[in-house]
Amino acid sequence: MAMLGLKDATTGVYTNYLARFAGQEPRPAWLHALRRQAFGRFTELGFPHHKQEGWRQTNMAAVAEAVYEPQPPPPPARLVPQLRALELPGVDWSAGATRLVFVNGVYAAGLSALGPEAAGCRIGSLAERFATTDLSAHFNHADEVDQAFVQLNTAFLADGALIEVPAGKVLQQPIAVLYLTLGTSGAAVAQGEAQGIAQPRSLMLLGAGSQACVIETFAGLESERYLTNSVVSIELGDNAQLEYTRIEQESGRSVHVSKLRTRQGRDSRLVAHNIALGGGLVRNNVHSILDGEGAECTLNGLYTLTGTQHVDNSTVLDHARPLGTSREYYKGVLDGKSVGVFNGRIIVRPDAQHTDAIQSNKNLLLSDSAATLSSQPQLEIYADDVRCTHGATVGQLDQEALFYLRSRGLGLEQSRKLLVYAFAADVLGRVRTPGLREKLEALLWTRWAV
Amino acid sequence: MLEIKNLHAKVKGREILRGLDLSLKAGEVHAIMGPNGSGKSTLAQVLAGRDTYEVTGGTVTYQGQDLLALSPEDRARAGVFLAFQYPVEIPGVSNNYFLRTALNAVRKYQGQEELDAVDFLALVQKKMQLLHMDEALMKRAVNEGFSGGEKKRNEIFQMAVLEPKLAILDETDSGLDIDALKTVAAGVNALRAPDRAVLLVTHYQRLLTYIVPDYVHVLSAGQIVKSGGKELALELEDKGYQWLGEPDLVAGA
Repeated sequence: MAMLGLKDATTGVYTNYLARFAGQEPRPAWLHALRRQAFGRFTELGFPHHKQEGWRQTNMAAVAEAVYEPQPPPPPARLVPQLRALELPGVDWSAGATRLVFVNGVYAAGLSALGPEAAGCRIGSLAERFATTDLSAHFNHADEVDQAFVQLNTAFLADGALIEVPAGKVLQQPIAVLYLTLGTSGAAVAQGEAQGIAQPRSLMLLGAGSQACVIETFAGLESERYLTNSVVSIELGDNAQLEYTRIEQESGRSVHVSKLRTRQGRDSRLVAHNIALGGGLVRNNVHSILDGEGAECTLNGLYTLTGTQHVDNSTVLDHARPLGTSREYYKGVLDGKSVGVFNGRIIVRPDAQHTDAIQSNKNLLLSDSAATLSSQPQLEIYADDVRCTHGATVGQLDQEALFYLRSRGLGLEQSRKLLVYAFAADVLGRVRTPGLREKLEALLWTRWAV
Repeated sequence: MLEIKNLHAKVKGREILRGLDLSLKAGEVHAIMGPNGSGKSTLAQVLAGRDTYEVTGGTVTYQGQDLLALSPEDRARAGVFLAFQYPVEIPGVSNNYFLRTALNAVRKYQGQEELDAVDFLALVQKKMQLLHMDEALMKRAVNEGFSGGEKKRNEIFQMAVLEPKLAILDETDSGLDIDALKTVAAGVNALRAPDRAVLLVTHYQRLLTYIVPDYVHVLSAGQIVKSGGKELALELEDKGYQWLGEPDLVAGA
């Protein structure tokens, strides 16, 4: 039944993975119903087409035409050293740290650990929680019914990170989540083998007045081919505070699609950083709903692109209540033939008087590169007493600054590297999670090493 | 130390330097004065290697080597220092990192051992006292948010740390109040040594009260039109640049 219309919704070759839908393990009734509904919705929608609004600059045809199968993980003896070899600033492997590791979206208990602060919170695998609790209210949002990738994720919803912090609890230590997707070599794909796939889901529920720092890392092994389709839902109670850092370090041959949906209560504070360092084709959707009076939301973003990378950040800051403050600050460095897309939409609903919203998108195009960038703000203001500003820039390295550095003895390449690093590190300077900024800076530094 | 012969240079197709000759020996301080547009800053920038200026003729020999053949960084490493008229702000790069990297690049080039963070700090503290500078400045980004006077002082501070053989000061006095001017002058005077030369590019005589030059040259329309001792600066102050037969290039015009 569920396969009906599939041929129309996709190009057909994709069916082998979608056919798995029928064969999924039995689950609680609520989850079964939720998935069936989402699968039906996905088959109606099909993959986004590049002539569709919101997808004009990012073509997903390659995803619709590829063949995907989750790739079996290697034995731990082989996987663990491979994982440890990856430089992941967001993951703390030391004893006492809290980390949740998922391989192909499935909880890997052996690689995970809970620190002392985890007691009294509910931090772990969603799958375990599904058995006892109906969570459908958190996975079924009216504002997502038209989003094909979210529906696809829900259709295969099985596991992911659950972080539930009770009211009033203040966590000092960061919580790390690692999503590793295993892929297939380019040679194998050329011979008709399927690419890897993972569709993890994260759910974070912060009770009133609670505080936490969460770092999510999305990673893959070098040059492997796969699709990661992630959905993250964050709900902040009144007065809650969260710093959420999302570090994307996918393989350069992978496709990464994500949706981050946040809903904030009264006087809550969210700071979300999106650090895109990897991936071949990346589309990040963010929808931040300021749903309580006096809520504050900051979205920081950094994308550093080389080669033929294509990274699209489409964000919506949705002011639904009065006295909300939002700050959006995205920066990009583009080299090679890379493509950057930034779409920043700000909605101020009629009820959201005294909204204060500032959006900024600054880009650095490295000289001699054939990189392209599209930056588009979109303001929809339905309240009359608000302050909304936006600004976008695209520039090249400052020649005056370059000469100044060289005139003091720094080499040309060294000076370039320093200026690029300084431009990008500005975003990292906003990270407050203990110890994380330094590690990100070190990684960025080596990335621009010459 | 520096021998400039028949130097011609263009910017955006316009010839600015038109056959400039100048010779500096080690231990000497030379001042170049001249009205706006006479080519003073062009000379300073050409010597430092700014590529927006095109050298179309002549030679510049520095310590026996062809200076014009060297990249800007190699000139700096070989001991040439330009104090900028308009120091550049570089957000995101700390003074501390910048200056230590610069100093070590120079030291490495000259076959000296590179300084570690501790030795560098000791050196910096000494030089900061000389220029009455706040140590907190080292953690700030290069020139970012500095006042005009702070920027100029930072140039002289960098010079004091890098200890160049040939220091070129481009309008370092402009925008300084009298106290800052004295501090900057003390920094330059402290650097005077038998093995160093200083080239002061200035519009006004004021700076030369505090840094007394051995020679004064007047630059006009891209050439040195008059040279003399320190008394020439006073004469210029008194009579203005019109005295040299340049009625259309009046000082301050």
